[in-house]
Amino acid sequence: MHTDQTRRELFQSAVEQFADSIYRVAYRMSGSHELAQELVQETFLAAWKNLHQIQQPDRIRYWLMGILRNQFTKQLSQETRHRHELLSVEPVTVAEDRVLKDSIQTAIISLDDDQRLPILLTIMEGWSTEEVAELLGVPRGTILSRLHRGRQKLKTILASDWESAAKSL
Amino acid sequence: MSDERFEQKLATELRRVEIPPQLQAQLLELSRQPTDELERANSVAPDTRDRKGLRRQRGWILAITTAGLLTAFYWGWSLLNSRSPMQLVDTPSSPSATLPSEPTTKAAEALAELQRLRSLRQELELAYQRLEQAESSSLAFEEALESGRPELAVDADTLKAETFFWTAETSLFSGYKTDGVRAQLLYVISEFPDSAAAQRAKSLLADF
Repeated sequence: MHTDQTRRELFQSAVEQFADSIYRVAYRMSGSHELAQELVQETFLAAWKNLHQIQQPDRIRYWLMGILRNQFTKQLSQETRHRHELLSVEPVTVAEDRVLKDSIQTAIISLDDDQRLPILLTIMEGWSTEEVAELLGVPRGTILSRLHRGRQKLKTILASDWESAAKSL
Repeated sequence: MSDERFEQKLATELRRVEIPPQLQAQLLELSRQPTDELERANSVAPDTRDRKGLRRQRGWILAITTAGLLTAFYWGWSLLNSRSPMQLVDTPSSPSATLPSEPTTKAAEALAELQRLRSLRQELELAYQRLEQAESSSLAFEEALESGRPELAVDADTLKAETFFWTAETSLFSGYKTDGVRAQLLYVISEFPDSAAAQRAKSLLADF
């Protein structure tokens, strides 16, 4: 059980350390800044509400990512009808980045549901495969195979775009 | 492009997204508000919505569970009544029944029928176990959210998809290859297209 003061400090430290990472994952999973903001708010609200129950504060990163994953699944199932809108790519304002950003987000969204989070957590956030396996509650071998298939798919989609973009510069 | 270079570039591009500063400030602000005020604000909107949603979800699951249970009872009861093992062995009321070969054939048939009924009973018992599991999962989902362990809550749609699927699967395995079962499988595929249950429903439909 934490006092109000330690609870507040723990929460603030979690926001400072992990909010950026949670937001990035939320955005890459949903493809929408608006939805990502909503997911992050819901995640941290649930965390704040239940923070007094956390037994191992050093594992707060897993805890937050687990809540985000649940919030995302919940949101998606509540809004199945609008799924194509949730997963659509938002227009970007900077013209020269447009092709690059769109292609990355499109490639991420094209991954299978079970490949997306392992890819984002390992490549974007630097989690180890053991950590991802623990978060998702599946064997490490399963994560390795999902990562392998995900990487292959991304490379097929993105590598040629990037190479031709590099040649045109 | 080498694998290593590709992955480095991918990581760099993916990390370009940053949390809007005002959102981070809002999150930090949460902890600066008096706890009771925040709890109150938090309990009004999202929680009320969550509980309503939960009640609806649980109502759904219980309705499906009850329907499955009643159907299983009905099948079992009809089958047991229509072919009671006791009726399969003729009493030696006529002279022909005393012929040595016929009672032996009847006894073999009765034995086969008994075995069939035993296996049906096992299927029904299995169906009950799955019903219990579905109900306990739905309760666990509700408890996980309400007891403040939202990260443990199971996705309710997955649960619904699984429940619909196994009632259809149980019907099929019990020999009921009907339009109703087919409609139920199609429902799982159309309503929960991304679920594992939908994939299994597709392979069952292929055998129709």
